[in-house]
Amino acid sequence: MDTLLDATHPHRVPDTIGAVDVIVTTSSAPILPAIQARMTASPAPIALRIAGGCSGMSDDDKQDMLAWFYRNMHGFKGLLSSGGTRDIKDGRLDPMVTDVPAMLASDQVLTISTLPLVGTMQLVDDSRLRISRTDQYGTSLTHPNPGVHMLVVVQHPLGTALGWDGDVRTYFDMLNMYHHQGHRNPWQVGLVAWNGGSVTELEIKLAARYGWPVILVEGSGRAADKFITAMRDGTLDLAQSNEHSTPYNPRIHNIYVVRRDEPNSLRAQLEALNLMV
Amino acid sequence: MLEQSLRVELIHATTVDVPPPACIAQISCADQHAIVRITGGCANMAEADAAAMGELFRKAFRGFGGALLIGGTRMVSIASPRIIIPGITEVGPLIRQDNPSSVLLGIIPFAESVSWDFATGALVVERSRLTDPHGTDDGMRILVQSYMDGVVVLGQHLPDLPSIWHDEAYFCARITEPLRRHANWSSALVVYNGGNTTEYEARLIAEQHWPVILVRGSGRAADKLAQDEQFLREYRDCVTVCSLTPSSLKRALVKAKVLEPKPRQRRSQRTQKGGVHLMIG
Repeated sequence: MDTLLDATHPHRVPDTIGAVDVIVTTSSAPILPAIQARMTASPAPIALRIAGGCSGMSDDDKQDMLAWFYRNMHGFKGLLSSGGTRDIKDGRLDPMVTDVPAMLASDQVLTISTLPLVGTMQLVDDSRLRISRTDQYGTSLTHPNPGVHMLVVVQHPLGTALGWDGDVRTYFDMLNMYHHQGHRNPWQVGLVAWNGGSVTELEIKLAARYGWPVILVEGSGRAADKFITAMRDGTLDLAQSNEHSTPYNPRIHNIYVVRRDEPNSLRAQLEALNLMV
Repeated sequence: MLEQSLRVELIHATTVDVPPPACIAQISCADQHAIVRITGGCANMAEADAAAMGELFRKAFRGFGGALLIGGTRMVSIASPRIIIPGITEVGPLIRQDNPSSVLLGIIPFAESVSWDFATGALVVERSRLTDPHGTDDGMRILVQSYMDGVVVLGQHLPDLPSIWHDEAYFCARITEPLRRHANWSSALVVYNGGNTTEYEARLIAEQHWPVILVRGSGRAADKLAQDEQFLREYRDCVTVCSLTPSSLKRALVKAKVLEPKPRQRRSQRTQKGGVHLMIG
């Protein structure tokens, strides 16, 4: 997988990207024209948000995850978005689902990821940017993902630290705006969920309630599998999220399941939904 | 005057300086990542000259697939509303009609009201003398141009600028700026005739070093700047002077990368024009 993502230089901006545009906004602000303008450069009128996390996954498991996404999404054309962070362990890239856009970024795949400002932005070493967060568990570091075309950093209007769900409203606004970009022929937007925790649960619910096609990867773990089980048990409740209420009625007819152990299941589903051209 | 399928879209902006998202959304429907702003005026223009102006722009823009920003009004005679008083804003619909993959966005600077005239079916733009002291003659009525993809009515005057007409120039630059900077769109300002506000706009855009095309022979501001050696020297990287012929204007548009040398194939399946989107910014 080192051929897809350079694990040895986790801070390096790839030549294919050149320079990452960093846009800072607040969680209460409307989407800035700079972001909307950049979205017009999408090579096809399709956008996918890759949601999820990688907690509890082994190193091999993570490599398999990247390979699975590459196999399924190689040749995708349009806009890809995910969380704008990157994990680094012992100086090497520790892959997460948020690296999927970076892995696929090209002149055919515009990548715009979002990042809640969960702590303080700091410049260290040779002007390297990092985010330092201090909470009851101590201090932790996270890094902006250098493999995407545009990073949208979302900060609290008062400057206090946001939670990890702090960019959710912004990216939903952003992709709903993308959806309406085509005006009379709306551009398509969907969400793919892999594993993940409570923030991913929120994202799945919101996407389903906005009517986006939501694709859950069965066998990826935690939130995605939990939703699939609940769907099959008939206990799925998409209305339980009060904090980010939407005006739409809950619906589950736009939630699809693909299997991780089937090599091309995501590709087939994306093609069936016209999200892959 | 307006089509039966009129669809009015109202966009309420919360600040005066951020263009409503619907503007870029409309612009993004264009096949080609190019914005052309046509500015100028046609004071006291004869009917024959107006027809020649229309032909100039129609021929020069053949094959255009980008977004066009132009004044969003039409002037008609009060005595006989079917008589259209010639103006630069009339060339937008002509270009749009010939080039179905383009997008036409009209901009209307601050107006006290935009009201629907049930008798004619037209949207009428009204401004007080306080807003527009040198405004239209009594014999003239201002309507919303009907053959457009979207019309932006600027709902607030920026007090930093000398007049509401400067708002239009400033607003168009504000739309163009993020598309140029963040999404690699090309742009050009075409200057045809015009007065003080036109000159302000030409200088504003030249100062950004974005392409400006001066149509020499069209009169007033365009001719003045086309003869201004200091201006031409200072902005030689971005200002092009063309003559009053379609081929010369076309060459300048190609040079500015807003027109492809050969007509392009349509990319999108965009529906044909169905009505006007009215945006209150």
